[in-house]
Amino acid sequence: MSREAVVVGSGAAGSVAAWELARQGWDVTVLERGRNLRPGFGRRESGDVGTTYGSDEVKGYRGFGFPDGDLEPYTTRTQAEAASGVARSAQGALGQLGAAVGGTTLHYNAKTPRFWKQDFSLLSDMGPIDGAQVADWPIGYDDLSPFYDTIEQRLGVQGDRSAMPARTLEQSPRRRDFPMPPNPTGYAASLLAEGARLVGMEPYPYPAAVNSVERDGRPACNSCGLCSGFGCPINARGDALVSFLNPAVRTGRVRVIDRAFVDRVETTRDGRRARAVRYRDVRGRVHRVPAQTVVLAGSPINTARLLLMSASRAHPGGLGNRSDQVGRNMMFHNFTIVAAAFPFDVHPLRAQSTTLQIDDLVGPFTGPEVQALGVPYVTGGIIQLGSGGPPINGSQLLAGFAGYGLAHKAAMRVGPHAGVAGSQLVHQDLPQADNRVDLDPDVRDFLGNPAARITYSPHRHEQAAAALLGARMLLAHQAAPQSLAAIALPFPILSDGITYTAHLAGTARMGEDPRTSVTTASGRLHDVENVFVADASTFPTFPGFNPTLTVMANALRIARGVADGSAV
Amino acid sequence: MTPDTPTTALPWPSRRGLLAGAALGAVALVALPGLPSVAVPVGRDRNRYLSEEQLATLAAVVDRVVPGEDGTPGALEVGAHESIAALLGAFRTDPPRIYAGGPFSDRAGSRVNHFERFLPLDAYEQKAWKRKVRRFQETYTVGLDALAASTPDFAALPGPARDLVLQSSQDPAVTAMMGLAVTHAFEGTWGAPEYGGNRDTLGWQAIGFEGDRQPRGYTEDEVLNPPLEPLPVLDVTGALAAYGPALALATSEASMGLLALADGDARVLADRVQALLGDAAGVLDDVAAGVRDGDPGGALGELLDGLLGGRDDRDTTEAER
Repeated sequence: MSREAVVVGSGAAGSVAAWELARQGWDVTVLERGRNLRPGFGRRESGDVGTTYGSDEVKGYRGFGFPDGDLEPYTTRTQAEAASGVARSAQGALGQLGAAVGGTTLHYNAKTPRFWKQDFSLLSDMGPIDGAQVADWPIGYDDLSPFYDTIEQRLGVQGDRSAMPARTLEQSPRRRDFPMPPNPTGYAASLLAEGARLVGMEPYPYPAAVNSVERDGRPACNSCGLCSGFGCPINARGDALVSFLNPAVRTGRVRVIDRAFVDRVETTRDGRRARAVRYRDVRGRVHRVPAQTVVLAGSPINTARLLLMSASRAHPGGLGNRSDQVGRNMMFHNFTIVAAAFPFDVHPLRAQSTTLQIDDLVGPFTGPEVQALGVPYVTGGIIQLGSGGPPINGSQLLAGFAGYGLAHKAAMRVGPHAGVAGSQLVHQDLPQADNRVDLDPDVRDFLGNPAARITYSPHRHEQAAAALLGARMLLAHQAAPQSLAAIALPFPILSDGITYTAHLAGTARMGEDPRTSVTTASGRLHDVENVFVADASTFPTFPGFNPTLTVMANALRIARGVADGSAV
Repeated sequence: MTPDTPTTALPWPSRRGLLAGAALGAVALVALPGLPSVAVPVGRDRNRYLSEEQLATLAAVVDRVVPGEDGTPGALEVGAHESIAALLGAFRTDPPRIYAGGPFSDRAGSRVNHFERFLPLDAYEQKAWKRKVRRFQETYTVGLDALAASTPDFAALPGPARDLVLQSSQDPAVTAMMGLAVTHAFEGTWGAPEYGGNRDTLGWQAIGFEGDRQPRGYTEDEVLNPPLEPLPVLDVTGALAAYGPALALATSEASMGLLALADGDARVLADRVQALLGDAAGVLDDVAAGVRDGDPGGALGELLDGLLGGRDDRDTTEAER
């Protein structure tokens, strides 16, 4: 077997896959639709790679490193709209993931909790639930555990095992402590933590891919607070580029082609093998990269879109879509947001962002209050504790309520950079057949390819979880010392549509049965010998933890199977 | 009011304290120059797309978006209208004034201000931004001219009279222009000064925001023991009651998608936020009370149905899932 691969996407999954393949002596071509934003990439050691990012909020608002909503739109609608024949109800950037070499990890919040043992057997443990396609994973925690260890070491993760609750350690056992101790906890987070303790919760330092000491030639984080949505100006954050892709390119066996808009995986006539990956450049010229092995890592929406666009006579419903599951089970992390107001400036941005984690609302819960809400169980997720927000963000959202003018300006004085601090519950989202990505029948991108259309509504499970768990979060925030008042926004209740979030999964679920899943446990398309999916598309369920660490660990597992030939 | 209106500077709360304890050594390695960039000095006239009259009207507009009459600088005083003019004329310089450079300004420990050197755009970004800037130019010029035509002395009117004109205008050209101007005035007031507004960081100072902090960052002591300046209590409680949902949203990554959906149009965003949140303030209070009182019973299910029912009423379609 030839040791050559084409990897589509250079984010968390693609970079890790390229790194592992190169480490095992493979030659790899990585195709990325974004551009490189890190000067010195591929030419310097990762500690010396520069950045064009800064603590500059305007740049974020101008979509730096993101797809443009006019050139590459998504469209969306709710399940109810789909049922009544509405083709789409919104179109544009719609909170797409980043498009740049390194993907969204260039500006992620870098929080790296592990999934729990119970997350791999939700169906077996809790039984089916109406209206959802809950499934067990074909792998367990123990299968991922060694890959978690490798990724945490390489990425550089901070945390404190001794502070983790007993149930967390039981559900996500660790052989070693974290490579680095945690950053100092922000003052605002410490106030919210006090309130959480008063209602019986156990906050602890949030594992994060952020240097707390100088490591691998990169400096320690200095707590500037502008993390999520910002590129780290000092290179203190471990990401797909500095931790994986740059070292991979420096082996000499990996080349990255940027601004490559992949639109088709070409197969042999019988459809059993991929032969090439086709892409267009920004001017629309067509290019083909011959492929012995193809690894798809474009993130769930784009991977599903590419499989669907690759339909052929042998694969009429889309490449590898005999199960009709490609694009289905699209899952987003909904958030329940809670914020508390204080009578003084608590400096919520003066710390590494959201420095604390709480696991008390992970669940599952089955008490009478759950039954009363009409579901057999609810699962929640982690709480990320202690967020603030920079001023343009605050000003735009406040204008939704206060309009503009003096009242708005007065509210800005006490905004989320000063007197308001918040938390988010990251909700498990159950997979549903009708939450799906398909090809928009009318809307196309600037190259003439159909846009991804996302049909989505939360399940009753998520709504019940938001009501019950949001209420408990609210109590914790009301109990915070000197908290004047608190407010909760349970997104799954407020919105019948997509929550715009960088946390996505589903669309090409892995499983043993080719009739109900898209890939094998090894990530290979059931029906194609040499096409693998390495990103979060493969997740059969989507537990309520920040997904990047698991995306990377799973991509490493899949890439190792490809490289050593053990993949089935 | 004119662009020469005197400004009132607020004290910069803790800057001096922050200067102590600076730790720069660890980050010197990464203070590399950005991508190759051609620095073209941007004169006051070269980058302007608007006529003097249009700019004066725009100045009078942004003055109502973030007013200065509470004694702290507003959009006009910090030059937000100049930042909008710079955006409209972004392609008159090379590189275009779209993305400031990185990684550091010179406000927090770097001797070099990388923000001042704007980044070259690649072909994709050129294509995207030329379209966007053309749309902005059209919307502003048509809107500002329509405003000047309907209210010839607009710029000379007192603030409340200008508020009335802007809020009562039914002219789609004016409302479309305001959709952009509100967002852009916020960016010009509270964005980095290199984009042409937030003069001398007065916009940040007026709301107690400390600005970009790299490469200095904060010391451990500054993180653990920040200065706890009191905020006006009445304003806090009033603001939370009135704007709490928006304040909560602003602490969340989830808000980024809402903003992306609005694509820079403040009216669209306001509609989206209001449609999403409705009267969400305290929407969970009753559930919280039920959980706290240990009275789950059947009442909670009815409560959730009630919440969802209220939401479904706002939808245009209804379907059982």
